[in-house]
Amino acid sequence: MRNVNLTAFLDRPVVEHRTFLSDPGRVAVFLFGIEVVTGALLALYYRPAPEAAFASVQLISNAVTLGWLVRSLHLVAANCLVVLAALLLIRAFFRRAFLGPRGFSGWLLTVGFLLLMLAFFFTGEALPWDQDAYWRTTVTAHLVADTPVVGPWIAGVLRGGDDVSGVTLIRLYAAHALLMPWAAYWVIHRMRALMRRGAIG
Amino acid sequence: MRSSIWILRADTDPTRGEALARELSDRGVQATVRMQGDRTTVVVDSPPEDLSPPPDVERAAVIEIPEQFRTTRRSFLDSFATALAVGVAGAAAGSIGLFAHPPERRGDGVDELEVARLSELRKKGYQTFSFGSEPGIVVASGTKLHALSLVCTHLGCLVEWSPERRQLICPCHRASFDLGGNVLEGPPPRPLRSFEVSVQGDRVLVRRAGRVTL
Ligand code: HEM
Ligand code: FES
Repeated sequence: MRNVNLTAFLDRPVVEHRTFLSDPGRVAVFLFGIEVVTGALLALYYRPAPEAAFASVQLISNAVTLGWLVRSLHLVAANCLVVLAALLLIRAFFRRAFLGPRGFSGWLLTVGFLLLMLAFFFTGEALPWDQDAYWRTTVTAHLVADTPVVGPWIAGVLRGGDDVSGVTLIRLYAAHALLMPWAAYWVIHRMRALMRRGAIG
Repeated sequence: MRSSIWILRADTDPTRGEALARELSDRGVQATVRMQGDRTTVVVDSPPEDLSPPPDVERAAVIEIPEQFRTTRRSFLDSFATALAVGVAGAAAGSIGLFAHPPERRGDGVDELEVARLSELRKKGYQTFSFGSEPGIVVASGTKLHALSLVCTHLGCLVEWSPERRQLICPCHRASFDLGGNVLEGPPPRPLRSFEVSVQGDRVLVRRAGRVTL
């Protein structure tokens, strides 16, 4: 077996005053990695059906070994991701990162990253499908429907009908665990590429 | 790397080892002192050719340690980090294994219950029961018996039997169901789950076909 080459790691040259936290792209990869792993584990028990969703989440929290830990990790990393995305956007604004070569695409990516993380958070929060989740989803769908022109269409797609129903839950789950992860992977990848070239931050 | 090992005589002063090591290090030679029982041992690393053991050394030996077997502080650190990484990875894998193993659930394995005496059920009109964590109700209506799950198919609240309306009412979003479990009004997407009822003499038995609810 190969050793963890700790000494080589410690010996490698580093730029002064650089730490793990000073590379936000790496932090994003780390946090998203936690989400993917814990999310996949939650999916072993989670059931996206109206009458079973809450019971399955309760089962994870109360009966499954270390289930509370996996759920908390998923939630804590989710919060960190939203905060990180917001901080990156604020930083990009004050550094005027939207100017200069590739500045605009970098800015769009940064905005997209925040929106995506918020979308993850919104869809994830709905998954336990308790009273709160049901009404929050209903209210958000109304808000979306108020968007001029495309609002009603988007709300229809989101709900899978005219009302929030079991179909809505399945759609939120599919978006959360099946579709958006690919988008997030791509956005983080592009952001890191632009950060390396100094276009973001 | 070559090392000399000096074992001091049993009657030497216990501080002698340290003194020797200091003397050697003044000459630029690295030496470590170990106490083994009542014996003091001095290990001299890469001894110079002209170094001979002092008179209070009882036995001296020169050994050759091949490079790959030497434990330096660095190689120790590497092994330690490897062990730590393996330990952490093992603990993570073990935890995931524990997580993935499904917990025991109450009511599992019970698919048939004796829920009431027929005579009492006729008098009272209904009787609640529970398949483990899935509560249900059996209602007598005319000559027929209906057995239904009480878990609302909307968001899983528990529905209540209303003898006046002869309906099952969900308090959460004002849904109602008839005795066949069918949705009369409200948001539930599907009928209530129903169970098979059978009567054997005076005993009322309820069976469920599968374990659906968690
Ligand atoms: C591949 C990635 C992901 C998968 C497979 C996944 C899967 C899941 C599943 C199955 C649940 C339901 C279990 C529960 O409610 O505890 C859930 C909840 C949740 N997810 Fe994710 N998720 C992923 C990524 C993310 C990301 C990137 C975020 C946030 C930025 C996020 C935020 C949430 C939140 C806030 C909840 C609700 C937590 C709770 O109720 O305790 N998820 N996720
Ligand atoms: S939970 Fe029964 S109507 Fe909503």
